[in-house]
Parts: sequence; C-alpha cells; structure tokens
Amino acid sequence: MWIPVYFVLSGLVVDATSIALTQARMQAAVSDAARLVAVGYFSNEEGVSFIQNQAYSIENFTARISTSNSIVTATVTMPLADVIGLKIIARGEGVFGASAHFYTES
Amino acid sequence: MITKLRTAILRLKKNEDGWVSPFSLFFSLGLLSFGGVAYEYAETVRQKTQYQHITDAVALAAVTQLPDREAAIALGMQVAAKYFPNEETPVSVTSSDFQFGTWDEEAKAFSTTDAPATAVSVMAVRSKERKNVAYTAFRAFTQSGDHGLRARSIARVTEVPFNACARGGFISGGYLTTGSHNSFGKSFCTYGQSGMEIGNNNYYESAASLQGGRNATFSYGGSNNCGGSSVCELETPGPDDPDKRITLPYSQDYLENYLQAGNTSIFRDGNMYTIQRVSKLPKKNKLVPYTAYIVNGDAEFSSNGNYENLIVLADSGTIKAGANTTFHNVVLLADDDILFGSNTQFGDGNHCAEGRYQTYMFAEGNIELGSNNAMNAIQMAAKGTLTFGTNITAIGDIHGETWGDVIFNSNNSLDSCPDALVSDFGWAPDIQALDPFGGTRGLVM
Repeated sequence: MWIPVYFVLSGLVVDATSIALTQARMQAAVSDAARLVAVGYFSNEEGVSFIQNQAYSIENFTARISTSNSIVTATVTMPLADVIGLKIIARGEGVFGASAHFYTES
Repeated sequence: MITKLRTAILRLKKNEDGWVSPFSLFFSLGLLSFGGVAYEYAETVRQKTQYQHITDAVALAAVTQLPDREAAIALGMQVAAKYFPNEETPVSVTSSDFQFGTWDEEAKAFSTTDAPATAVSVMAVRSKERKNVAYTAFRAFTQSGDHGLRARSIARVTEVPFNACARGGFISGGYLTTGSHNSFGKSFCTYGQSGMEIGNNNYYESAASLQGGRNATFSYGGSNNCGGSSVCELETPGPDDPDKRITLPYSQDYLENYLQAGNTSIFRDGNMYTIQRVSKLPKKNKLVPYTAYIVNGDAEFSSNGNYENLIVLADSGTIKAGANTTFHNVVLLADDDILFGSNTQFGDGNHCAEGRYQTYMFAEGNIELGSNNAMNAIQMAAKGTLTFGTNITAIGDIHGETWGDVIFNSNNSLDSCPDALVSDFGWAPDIQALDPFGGTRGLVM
C-alpha cells in the first residue's frame, strides 16, 4: 500500500530537481546569449539558436532576443510538460523559463 | 471484567499487527523532509546563481559609464530594474550597493577611491533588513537561518597607452586656441589638454585630428569644415591626471647641460660643432657655421640674414630674431623666451625627402613667431606659451609642445609630410600618459 506513496514522493523529488536543473541551464543560456549579443559577437538570430541548442532531448526551448534602449533582453520558456522526469509535478499546463538583460557595448 | 480488560491490554501490547502504518507514516515524513532539504538547498543555489547573473549584468553596464559615477549607477539600476519587473525600485540592488574604485590585478583585490574610478563593484542582497528574504518553506518551518544571500560582481576597464598627436602637431598642456581661416592638412594634429577653442572658417582634412585631455572643454565657431562636416568633434581619451604634465622632448636645461659639458654631436649628420662662449652673438656675417655659441645673456639674430648650421644657447637670456631671415639646421636654446619676427623661412624645402626636423627650438619660457613665416620641419618645446601669428605656411611637419597654451592666429596653412619626421634628438612625440578608460571593459570577479 505504501509503495505508490514512496513512488510519488520520489517522483516529486526527481521532478523538482529536474526543473531546477533545467532552469539553471536556461539561466546560463540566456545570460551567455544576451552578453554575446550585447558585445556584438552574436546577432539576435544567432543568440536565439545558441539558446535553443542548450535544450536536451524532448525539451523545447522557445527563445526570444530583443533590444530596447540599448539593453539586450534574452528570454527562454519551456512548457512544464516537456521537463525530463517522472512528470508528477510536470504533468499539467504552464511554462517556466528565465531571462537576462545586458547593456549593449558594441 | 478487570481481568478481561487486563488480558486485552496485554494482548494488544504484544500484538504487532498494523505496525507498518505508523512506521511508514514517520518514514514518509522523514523522506519528505530529506527531499525538502535537498530542494531548498537547490533552490538557494539557484537563487544565488541568478543573483550572480544579475550583478554581472549590472556591473558590466555600470562600467561602461566610468568615470561618471552617477551615470554608472543610473544605468546599472536601469538594468537591475529589468530583473525585477514587479518592483517599482529594485530592493535587492540599490544605489548604495555600488562601489567605485580600482582593481589590483596582482592582489586580485578591489579598493575604493575618490579619484576617477576604473572599477565598479555591485552587490545584490536579500536580507531581513531589506525585507526581501527568500521564502523557503522548509527553512521557514524549522526557523533555520536568516534566509539571506549576497552576490557580488566587479567589472573594470583597462588602461591603454594614450598617444596624442603621435606623429607631431601642436600639443598644449593648457588651452589651444585657433583663429579663423586656418587649414590643417593631412594628419596634422592639435591637442589641448585643458581645452580647445577654434574660430570660424577653418578647414581640417579628414585625417587631421583635434584631441584633448579627458576633461577638456571644446568650442568652435561657424562655417568650419572638419573632415567634410560642419560639426567638429574633440577626441578626449586623454590622461585623467590634470597635474600630469606633458613630457617635453628635451628640456632646455638638459640640452644646456649637454652643451656646457662640451657635447655637440647632436645632429644626425655627425658634424662636430666647435663651442664658443661669447657675451654677445656675433653679427650675421661673422657667424661661423658648425659653431655652438653659448651666449651670456640675450642672443639676437639681425634681420635679413641667412643662418645655417648653428647652435645658439642664450644662457640666462632670450633669443630674438629680426624679420626677413632664413634658418636651416639650427638649434636654439633659451633660458627665457625665443622670439621671432616676420617673414622668416625655416627649412630648405627638402625636409620630407630628408625625413627629419631641420630646426629645433627649446625655451624655458615662451616661443613666439610673427606673421608671414614659412615654418617647415621645426621641432619646438616650451614651458610657457607658444604663439603664432598670421599667414604661416608649413608645408612639412611642424611639431610644438608646451606646458602652457598654444595660441594660433588666422590664415595659417599647416600640412604634413607623407611620413613622420624624425628628431635628431632621437625623440618621438608622446605625451607619456595612460588613458585609464581606453581599454576593454569586463568582469574580473
């Protein structure tokens, strides 16, 4: 009777960890991309490709880079349903993501 | 009845049926707690990483505005606000979290300073005092820790050598003032450390430079042509230290001591000069070529003379030259001023092919030249003021440096040789300063 409970609890930990890891990877990706666009190393399109290339397996990163008032903003989002894990937390609707902002130096 | 109850209690006490349920309950709580601890730790690390990214971005933005601290804070806060869209003013990063100073590359240490800063430190803080502690369910439940975190980034700009008028021109440690209807051709360079003011109807070829110190003021009149534009701009990547003086090519003192010690082989052509100590400079027809005259007091060149291959030192005096003269291969040293009249021809016109300066003037005081002079291939330096009259033509390079002002009148035409001229004194123009804000800007911590 307790086996399903343990399974659910373990699944919660696995899913939470997976979300945290994915979000950390997203944060690193948008920071790197925004910085590289800000210094002129990447175009916006190259920055978007760079972010999307950081996705693993079934993950589907939706990236966007824009510049306003000389501040480059990079955002990435992904549906919770695409999180690699046991999909106990991540079964439902919703998205999560990260963003970064760098002043244009080029 | 009592016996039955006692028997039932004893049986229940020994009975192990159903023990799995409370055990599992506590085990599950323990498992959940461990999971919670792991999650909270991961979340704290994630927040710390996120805040590090924020301080990186804010510091990199702020450093682009140095040395203007107010602009650096304003831009840094503008970037920080992007990370906290739900806050009217970011609480985690405030203007008091910016520090300005210098970065010691060897010690890997940041020091604050009131002088112009080349590095900026930015801190992001979550703390009880700021009422922005991170909500963490497990730590809130256990009342452990203060839920605070800090992240810090330091960005700096590197220094680079500043080569003002590297191939010659007019370099002023004070203000450089130009009148009207002047023409600056090719790569002719003018530099005013404190500032520059140019009049009307001046023409600067696109390669001609207008440069100034970091805080130099700049104003110009109408109808100027600066590289094809009516808008003239002053390059100001200069040194930050207003007290740092331009290093003159050779001080008059140095050359005087050199000459007084009997050294005369300062011309590249290797000609030896005979030293003569006199109380008065001989008349023009009595001057002997390849002689170094050390005059006790003022030295005067009379008008309508042709002077070549001479060294003249006015020991404790002024050098004066009348009008309608020509000078070629002459070194003039004065403890006081050097004053020239009008209609003077410097150089033989062959200086570009020869590739060297042909006339040298070094004065402890001022150097003044009158009008209608043809000034070719002259290197000069003074501690006072350089003043030039009107209608000067300089087809070849002319280079003048002063700790004071350069005053340049009207209707002058200056140009450069295809290649920079070489000084017989083995000196190349360089104001020997570092531009503290001319290098790359990036994170160091």
